[in-house]
Amino acid sequence: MSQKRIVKKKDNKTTLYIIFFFVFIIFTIVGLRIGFSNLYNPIKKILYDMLGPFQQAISLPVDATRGIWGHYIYLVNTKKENMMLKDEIENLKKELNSFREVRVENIRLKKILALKEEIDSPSIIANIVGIDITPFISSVVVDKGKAQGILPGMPVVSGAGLVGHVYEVTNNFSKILLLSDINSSVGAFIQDRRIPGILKGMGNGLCMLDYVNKDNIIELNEVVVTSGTDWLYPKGIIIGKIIEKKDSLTRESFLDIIVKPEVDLKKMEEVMIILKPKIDKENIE
Amino acid sequence: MRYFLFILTFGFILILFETTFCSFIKINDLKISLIFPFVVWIAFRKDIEYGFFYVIGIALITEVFTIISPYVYMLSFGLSFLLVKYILENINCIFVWQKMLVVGLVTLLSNFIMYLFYGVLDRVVPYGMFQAVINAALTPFLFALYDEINFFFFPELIDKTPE
Repeated sequence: MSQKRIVKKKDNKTTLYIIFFFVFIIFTIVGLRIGFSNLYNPIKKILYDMLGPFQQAISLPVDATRGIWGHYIYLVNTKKENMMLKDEIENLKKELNSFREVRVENIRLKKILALKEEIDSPSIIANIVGIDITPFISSVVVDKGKAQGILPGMPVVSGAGLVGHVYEVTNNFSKILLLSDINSSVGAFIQDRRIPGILKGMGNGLCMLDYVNKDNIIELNEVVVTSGTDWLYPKGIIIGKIIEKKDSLTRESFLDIIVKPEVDLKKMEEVMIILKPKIDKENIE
Repeated sequence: MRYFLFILTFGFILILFETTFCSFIKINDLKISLIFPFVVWIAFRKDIEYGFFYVIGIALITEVFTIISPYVYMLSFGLSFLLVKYILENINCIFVWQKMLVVGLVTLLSNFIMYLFYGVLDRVVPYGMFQAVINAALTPFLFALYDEINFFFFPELIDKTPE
């Protein structure tokens, strides 16, 4: 009798799982297909405005910790590396005494300001407060949003060159899709030879300049800049340098050109968002 | 309701740690995940009736911190939760290595869904698999941590383990 009851109880639970499973699948698939995004996105944005300040607050000690990780943890393998580490600590102490952080920050900001003058468009400097929780998405969160005049699609640059574009905006925060993301595309060309192509992210911090014909002569270390043909990024912003070229395995008549972004996308602390990109529509090659 | 708020708050704290402190330990697609093992921990420790809503709540908060399409985390976390519940219904997972295997398996499922909806399914191998290994390896420590915190705040709920 009791055995029957146990079996019945187990059957009931299995039925419950199946009901849960189907209701859940229908709910999410319908949501994904029809796209309740219009209803869901405002809720998501309000939530981010509420929760974002916590991320901003917690990111301050993280910036300090990042340096410690970079200098201390990675250099423990060999005796030689230990010696280097000791030297590094000594150097760090000296540098700390002379307000290194302030100096470095000054240099960084000067670079950004120089770029700001060069671009000649209204822009705003924003601090990075977090990264995307999905590990394979190259995206960062900055502490400026709609309230500061930021809109989706605005180009983002740093001292050395292009970073990406604004993807999503809430009132006080913005999410930036980095150019190294697998779903990022930028109209680009090789600066000296004016050979056009489409720069796509590879997801590993590098990019690939696609659709460049095999007949073109290309040298390593050549600079790749934005072409402006995507109507998103202003023309002439430095993207990076060519570090590798090979014949494409999938498309016979094209080359696979690997580009290393000029900006170290993993170590950025501030970025500059161009509020009104000056795109010269008549002069695009 | 009090426990639901506790789960959401704790999940939120884990997300904050994952998007800030853990951000500089990231190598390519691989990183230390805190929130996904927490979802699996809920599946191990809580009943389906309540646990499912805890997981959906956490998925909703997680989606705020990403640019991936809406509902993908809900689908991924929800299915992972149901898979763990189904496994636990049929197999007794008592030993740590069994729990590690379960975490590895559901991480693969979760990663598969997310890679699929972001259009980069080819990266499941090797990154999705490596992430499964990392999550499985961290399971004993993270489960112990979550148990301790749960016990600290709600000592009366500690006997809810399925085994």
